[in-house]
Amino acid sequence: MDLPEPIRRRLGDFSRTVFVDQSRTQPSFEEHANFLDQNKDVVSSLPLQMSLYFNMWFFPFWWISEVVMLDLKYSALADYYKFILITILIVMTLIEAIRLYLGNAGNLQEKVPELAGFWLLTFLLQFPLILFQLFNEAVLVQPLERGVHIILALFIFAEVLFGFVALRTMVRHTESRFHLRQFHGIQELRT
Amino acid sequence: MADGWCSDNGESVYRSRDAVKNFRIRVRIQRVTSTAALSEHLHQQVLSQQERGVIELETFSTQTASSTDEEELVVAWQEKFFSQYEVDLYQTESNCQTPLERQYHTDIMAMERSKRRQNQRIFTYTDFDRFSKWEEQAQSLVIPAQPTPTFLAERMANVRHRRQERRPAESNVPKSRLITWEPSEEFVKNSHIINTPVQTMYIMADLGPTGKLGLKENEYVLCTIKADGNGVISIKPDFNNNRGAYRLETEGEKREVWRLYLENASSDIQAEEKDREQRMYRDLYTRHKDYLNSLVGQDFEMPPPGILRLIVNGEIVSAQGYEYDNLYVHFFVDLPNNWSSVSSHCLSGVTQTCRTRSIEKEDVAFFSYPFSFETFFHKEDESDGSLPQWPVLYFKVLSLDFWQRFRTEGYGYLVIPSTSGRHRMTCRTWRAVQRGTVAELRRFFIGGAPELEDISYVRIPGTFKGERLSRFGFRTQTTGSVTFTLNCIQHARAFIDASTLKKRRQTVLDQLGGHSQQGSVYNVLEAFQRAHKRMQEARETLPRDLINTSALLNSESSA
Repeated sequence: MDLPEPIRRRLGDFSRTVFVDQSRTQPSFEEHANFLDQNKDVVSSLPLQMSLYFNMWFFPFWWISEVVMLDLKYSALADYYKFILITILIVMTLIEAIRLYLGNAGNLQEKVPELAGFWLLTFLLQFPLILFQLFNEAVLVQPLERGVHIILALFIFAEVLFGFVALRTMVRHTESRFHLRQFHGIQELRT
Repeated sequence: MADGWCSDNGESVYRSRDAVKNFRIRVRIQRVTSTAALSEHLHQQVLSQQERGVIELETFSTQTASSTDEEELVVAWQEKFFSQYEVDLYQTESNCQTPLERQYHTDIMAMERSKRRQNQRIFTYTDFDRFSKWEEQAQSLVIPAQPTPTFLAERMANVRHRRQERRPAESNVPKSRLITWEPSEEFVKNSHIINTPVQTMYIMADLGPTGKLGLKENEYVLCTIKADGNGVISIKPDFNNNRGAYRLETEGEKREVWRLYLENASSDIQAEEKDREQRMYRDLYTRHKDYLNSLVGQDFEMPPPGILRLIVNGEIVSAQGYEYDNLYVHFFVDLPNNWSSVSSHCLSGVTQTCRTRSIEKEDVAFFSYPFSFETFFHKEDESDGSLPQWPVLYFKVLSLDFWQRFRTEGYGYLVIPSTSGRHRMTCRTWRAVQRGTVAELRRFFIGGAPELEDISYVRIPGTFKGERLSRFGFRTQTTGSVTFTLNCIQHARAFIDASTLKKRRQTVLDQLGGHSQQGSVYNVLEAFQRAHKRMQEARETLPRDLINTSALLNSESSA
């Protein structure tokens, strides 16, 4: 199960555009030397993976709490907020499922397009939605909702932060690897 | 009238090594009717009254001789004799449809022109006739009483006989509806098992009234002869052989009774032809034996002198006691010095990924992965006194999950045993551990783990040069175990020399070093020899010391 090819290509271009410093046309020799010194085989991010792992376990509790509280306070809400909250719940559920899958696949299998898609979904969609539900008092935020929203917001914030770092590291690692691959044949020819 | 009949109508089975085309049978039928009885009766009256004239007796004899009440015919295997019905049928060319029938038409026309016809009433149905199939359903008249057929006889009657030299009607097996759960009687008859292919021949008789031959309903089966390719001939009913005649009784208004005689008329083979045939068979068998010998060959495969050939057929049976699921084993065989292998053979492999199941509170992954390899040992320098090292099987156990996380579960090694035969071994494994909690978190969440760059570090690294190997600072953790089964075959030319010449046993063991137990015994003997030499040397030097001591004592006393 992979992303469609056009989406993968655009996400790859987005990653190379955003996470590569455009001021320098080529990485310096010292950076490649550092890459060879490190020579890490696994560039997956441990904090990001931990966030994703616990977020996967916490999401069902968030969902049940949200549905129960929405059902309890449904009669006291204004009409337009009823529609808005139901729409937000459905959209967040779908985006959360897609996001968690892309995050695990991108981080564990070192796939840059998947990780970029995960980061975009987290930063552009989930983060504003959770802030809206957390700080908009007009939707009658209850204590249980406030509690689960705070935890989910912390998870999403951590994933935005660690995802950015992991994506940047992975892009640079992939770039250095592809750069050094062109010299692989020369070494074979020399021997 | 009733005496003299043979009541045994059973089938008889013969086995013949001769070709079935040499088969001959003589058939003779004789009518026993009221006309014949009346003639005999009148004959007796005439004899009793001698005063009658001779003309009357001659008249009666002429009448008896003119009737066609007896016929005799010698029939060969698959020899065609036409009945009156067939002569009438095949004379018209429009009735001939198959090439066989057209040939019958030609034969009948030739026979009619030449006016030579050997049979009148007795005729045959061969295996190729279209009437043979119908006759299988016909009942034989020879049976005096009508017994009730048993269940087995009824079932065997429905067995479809396979015809020789005929194409199978439906050779392809239908892909759909392979199993018919409720077969009908018609389906059972059509699709039943097939017997041994046999050829059938019927000897028939046209028992109609004199002058009215050619009717189909007057045909009766006299004898049924079947023969298969293995030389088994069954004849029903059997030859008479000095017993009474068989009784034939026709149906219809007239209850005519006929007498049937069957006699074996096959001629024996001549002595010259028998010798020639035996000589031909002997030459054929000799040539076939030589051909088989040329295929198999005379040489038993033997390695060159001084080389031990080791063939190992092994199996990775199971892995048990590991932390994660979806295990697989990566293994390779390391050959020490003086060992070599065929270049085409592969000395490494990797098993399939296997999920574990719990057996007695322990997770076991059954691989049952077979592998085999072949190596040769050749010790070139004799001066080296150390025993040769045996190949080592290094392996590591890894796990792989849905997210492509793979973890190193354990490292282990297995020394190939020095004795041949079947061996079942369980090897314990360990894995490298890095200090700190972050390493364990990384192993759990991401899957990365410390790995050995050189897997031979499990035992003695290949690049190690020195006397002492230190592993201080290397951290490991005990994990599960892997079970192997090895079947070892050792093959050397020296084993034959060892069995014939026992004196050269030490030399053989010194060359091969194949058996560690006998090698250790040899070492003990060598050490004993060296100790014995030292004792002799000590004993030789002892008298001089004593003499010197005595001399010193003498000099002191003289002073």
